[in-house]
Amino acid sequence: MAAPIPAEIPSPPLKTSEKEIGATPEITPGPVGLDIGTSHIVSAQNRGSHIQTVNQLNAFFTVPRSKFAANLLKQKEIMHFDKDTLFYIVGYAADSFANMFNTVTKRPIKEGILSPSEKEGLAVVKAVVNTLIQKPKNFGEVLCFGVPGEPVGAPAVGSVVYHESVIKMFLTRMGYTPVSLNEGMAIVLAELANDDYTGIGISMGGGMCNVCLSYLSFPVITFSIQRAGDYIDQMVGISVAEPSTKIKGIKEAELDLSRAPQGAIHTALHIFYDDLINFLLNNLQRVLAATDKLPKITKPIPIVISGGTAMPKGFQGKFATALTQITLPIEISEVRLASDPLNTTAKGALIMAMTEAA
Amino acid sequence: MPPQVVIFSPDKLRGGITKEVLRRAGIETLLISKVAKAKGALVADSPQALVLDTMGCLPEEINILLEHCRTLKQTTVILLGRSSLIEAIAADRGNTIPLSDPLDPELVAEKVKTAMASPPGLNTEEPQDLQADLIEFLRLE
Repeated sequence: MAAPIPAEIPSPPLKTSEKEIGATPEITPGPVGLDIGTSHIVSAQNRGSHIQTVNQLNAFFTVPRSKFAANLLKQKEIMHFDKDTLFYIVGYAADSFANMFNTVTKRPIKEGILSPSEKEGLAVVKAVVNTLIQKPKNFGEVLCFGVPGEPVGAPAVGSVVYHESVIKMFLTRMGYTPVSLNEGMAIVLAELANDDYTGIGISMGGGMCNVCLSYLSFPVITFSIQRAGDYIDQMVGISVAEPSTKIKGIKEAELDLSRAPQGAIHTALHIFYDDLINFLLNNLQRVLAATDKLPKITKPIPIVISGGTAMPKGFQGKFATALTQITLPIEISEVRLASDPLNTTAKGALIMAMTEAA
Repeated sequence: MPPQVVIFSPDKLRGGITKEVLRRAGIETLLISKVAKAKGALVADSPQALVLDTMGCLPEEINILLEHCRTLKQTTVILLGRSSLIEAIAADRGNTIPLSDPLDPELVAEKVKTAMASPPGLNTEEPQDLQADLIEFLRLE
């Protein structure tokens, strides 16, 4: 097995955009990186002078089928598909509809993998992906997508193997050559080029945290925990008797983990962030202590953290402080945040796709 | 030019890491995971070193490769794996360097470089003197 030598990528910063409702995806030749997350799906492509990422909400909302609804959806160019007696509205448009009806959207992915309770989950994911990318200009174009690692401890809600296989199947039918990549490894590829791709990449998304310890671009250890941003929102919501959507809004807008919390909601957010970080680090300690795969690493290695859950102010400091309380069999040089936490996984997947295509 | 070092490892990660570290040290290697191919490479290339990773190997695979190496006097065997296994093997044969787990790729590179710098079977302390050998052979003292 040859060591993957990641391709050069343009150094200018990522340009990112949210998918406009009704905008058709661009068809550009070249490899594609895809991050299929619990909250969002993000695509990344190399435009030469910059990397273009586009993100779409990975959610859906159903309305009963009717001529009126059909005309409205067509008129407003709202991405949807129909099945049986329902229209499935997907993406950010689903959020708008849910708000109109004072309810919440549904998610096709739960805790990082296709939700077995959503029968049309795969169809929704396909529809969301189709808002971002179309059939490739060159048949067989390489597309790399992130997949979670095997969950530690509790069994997965669904199956990582099933999740990976069905996504590969539909991407193949689209005309791509799909390649899967551990999400934690995607962080390594995107952020640890200057560290010889040696270090720990952690992706903290909505449904799952994915961890990868890489040595010279080889993913030596990978695992996931099924707690992340959604867990914090739900637990805080239960603790303070508020809807998790409200908690999420406060978390994303106001939370500062470097300051003492004020009020019940902020206090609960601090508590559950501590809980999540400690859970993650304890599992990291367990996995590293139990493995026989770890090579001898003489130099200290960095930890890079990415994902929306890691974005609140003060998160990096809190994580670094918690790290001092555990003992790992390897020395850590620093803890740092990814330069663009929401798009790092897609960027890493693109780097892998470009390497495979070369 | 055939590679001077053959790596046999059924473990893709360990084999890949070893190959990469040796590549960075300027050593071209052939990485093989199937014993039949490894045998073929040993016969065809007569490498200066065989890095034999015993992790995940069947006992028969180890025996086959070691037997083959007995006929290759120029080949240093570097054994990787659990100390209880590889030290027992190394004690039984010459020209074998055991490096027990955890895998230390930099140490492997160092040992391979040493093996390539002074291959076995060559007596470097006594330079060959053809005239002296002939005199001795012909008993012309």
